[in-house]
Parts: sequence; structure tokens; C-alpha cells
Amino acid sequence: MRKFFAAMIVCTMIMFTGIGRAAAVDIDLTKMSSTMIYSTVFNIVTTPKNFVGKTMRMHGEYTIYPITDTETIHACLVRDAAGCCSQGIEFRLINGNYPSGTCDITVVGTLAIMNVDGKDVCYMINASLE
Amino acid sequence: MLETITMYLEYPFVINALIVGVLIALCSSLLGVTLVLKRFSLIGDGLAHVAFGALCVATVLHMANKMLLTLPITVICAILILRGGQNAKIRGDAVIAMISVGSLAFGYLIMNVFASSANLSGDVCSTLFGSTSILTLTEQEVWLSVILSILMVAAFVLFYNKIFAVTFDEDFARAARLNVDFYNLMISIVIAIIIVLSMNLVGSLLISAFIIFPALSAMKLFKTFRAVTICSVILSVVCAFIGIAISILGGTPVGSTIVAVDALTFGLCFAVNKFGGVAA
Repeated sequence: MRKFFAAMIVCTMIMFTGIGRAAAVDIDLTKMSSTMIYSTVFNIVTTPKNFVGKTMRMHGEYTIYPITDTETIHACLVRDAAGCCSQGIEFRLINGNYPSGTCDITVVGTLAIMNVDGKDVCYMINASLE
Repeated sequence: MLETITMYLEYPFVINALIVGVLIALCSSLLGVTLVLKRFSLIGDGLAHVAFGALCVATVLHMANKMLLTLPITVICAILILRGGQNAKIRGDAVIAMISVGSLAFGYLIMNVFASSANLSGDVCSTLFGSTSILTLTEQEVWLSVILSILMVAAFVLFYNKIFAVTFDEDFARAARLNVDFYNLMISIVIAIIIVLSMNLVGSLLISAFIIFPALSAMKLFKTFRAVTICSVILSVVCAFIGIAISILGGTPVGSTIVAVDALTFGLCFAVNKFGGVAA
């Protein structure tokens, strides 16, 4: 009985203190519905200035886009509720250990802007895989 | 659940979607009753296809605000359809079929030939079924929707008696020296505006259901024009709000969820009418 209560207390502490939880972020797409995930990513891509500096966690399909022989874009793609549209955000890992092929990933990072051909493009810096 | 709703409401695009959704529902239901009574239900469907064609052209032209092209083209076609209906050589339903199918075909053709988007099927699917369009509105589109909605409600309130007369008995309206052709034209233009606004909410294939269901549901509960119109507005706004909320929380496509809620409400009203009778 004592062991049961001890286990209950530990579980309660974990629940309320956040121990064992993933780190808190400003935008957690893993807790959203598919409609909200797609809409949020769409809004981040179209109005990146509103989201600069915010930390974000997203789960989606890891995709690679080679730009040149040496340069490659690593992105996380999400799809809308109907499954016909997709949006992606580029991420740059701190450790540089990218997955070897297409797979589902959960990535956490900070949103930043870079200027590409006079257009603001959003991407995640200081990213890490979970 | 409450925590999730609070989290979602922190995003401005969710608030914008709810505001625009409720406004479009209000506008479409106001004229939905007139459309059903005048047997103009299919004009909505035809104009929706026209709007789709115009939207395809705007997409190919890379226009920032596609509504600026979609709106005038749809209004012009609304006028053409109305005039076509008065022409004995080509019947009204044939004109609607001709313009709507032609626009749909040309729109898709233009998108295929000139599209720069890598995800063509996605763009078309989103336009036809409005999967998340309402949640991806730009600030300009939100303001344009708000202004047009206010103008629409003001026009309906201002011309309520005339619309009422033209809806029920055109001969009587003519005898009362009302310019019936002008009011029919005005109704067509207003319908065109509603169609263009509604495309963001439910997509072009589902617009007719969005306009007609609340009116039909209200007709199952009430008999007078005013009561049916007020009930139609209330049902439409509530259904749109519930539909958007369900789609955001449950991850379902926005347009079809709203129409599904509208259809279920019609079923409920039908049952009430069947077993409870109709109010005067």
C-alpha cells in the first residue's frame, strides 16, 4: 500500500512539475490538430516576421532539397486535413547529424528569418531532433 | 479541451477565421431564403464555378489579392446569367450550365498550362473544397470581407421591403411600380459577392449547400418571410461557428465540416417539423 501511495505521489509530482516532459516551447505543433498544424505553418511561411525568435516543436516528414552540389536544404513537411496541400520549414541542426533518408521526425528550434532574393524566408536555427 | 481552445485562440488567424466565417454565414443566409424562394439556388453553384475560373486566372497572374480579379468577373457573369435568363433563345438553366462548366474547365486548363506551383492538385483541391482557406487569410482579405459583409447587410436592411416584394410576386411588384429588373440585378450582384466571400470558407463546390441549407432548415420551423430569414441567419451563424470549431479541434477540413453541420441541422429541423409542427 505504501509503495502504491509513493508511486502516486511521484507520478503527481512529475505531472505538476513537468519533470519528464519535453521542454516547453512557444509554439508546440505536436499538440495541435492537423488543421491547426497546417494553418500555423502556412502563416509562419507567409508572415515570418510575426514569429521571429519564437521556439517551436514540430512533427512531420523529413525532406531534403539539394540546391547545389555542396548546399542542401533540410526541411520538415506537414500536410493539411484534406491531405492535398503541404508546407515545410527548413531547419538547421546544432550537431549537424541529419537523418540519412526520408522519415518522420520531431524537431525543436528557434524561428529566424533569412533574406533570399529579396524575400523573407523563415527557418529554424539551433534545432535539435527529439 | 479548454486549454487547447485557449491556446488556439492566442493565434490571430484563428480569431480572423471565426470573425470572417461568422460574417460570411450571416450574409449568405440573408439572401439564401430569397434564392430558394425565387428558385435561384443553382445560380450560386454556377457563379461558384465562375469564381473558381477567375481565381485560377488570378493565381496564374500571381496576384497578391486574388479577390480583386475574382470579384468583378463573378459580378459580370452574374449579370450575364440574369440577362441570359431573360433571353428566350437561351434558357436560364442552360446559361448557368454553360457559363459554370465553361469557367470550371477553362480555369483548370489555365492552371495546368501556366501554373508555377509545384503542388497544382493541392491548390485546386484547396479552392474546390476550402480545406483550410479560412485559416490562411491575409489581413487584406479579412478587411475586405468585413467591409463587404457590412455593405451586404446594410443593402439587405435598406431594401428589405423591395426584396420581399420581388421575391414573392414579381407581377405584383411591377404593378406597384417597382423596378423589378433593377432589384433582380442587385440580388444577382449581391449573390456574386457572397459567392466570392464564401469561397474562402467552404470552397467553390460546397457553396450552394452553405447558402441553401440554413434557409431550408428555417423554412421547416417557421412560415413568415421575416421569421424564416432571422432563423436562417441564426442557424447559419451557429453552424459556421460550430463547424469551424470542430474542424480546428478535430483536424477535419473546414468547408466540409461546416456543410456537414448544416446538413445535420437540416435533419434536426426536418424532424422537429415532422413531429412538432411549424410555428407561424
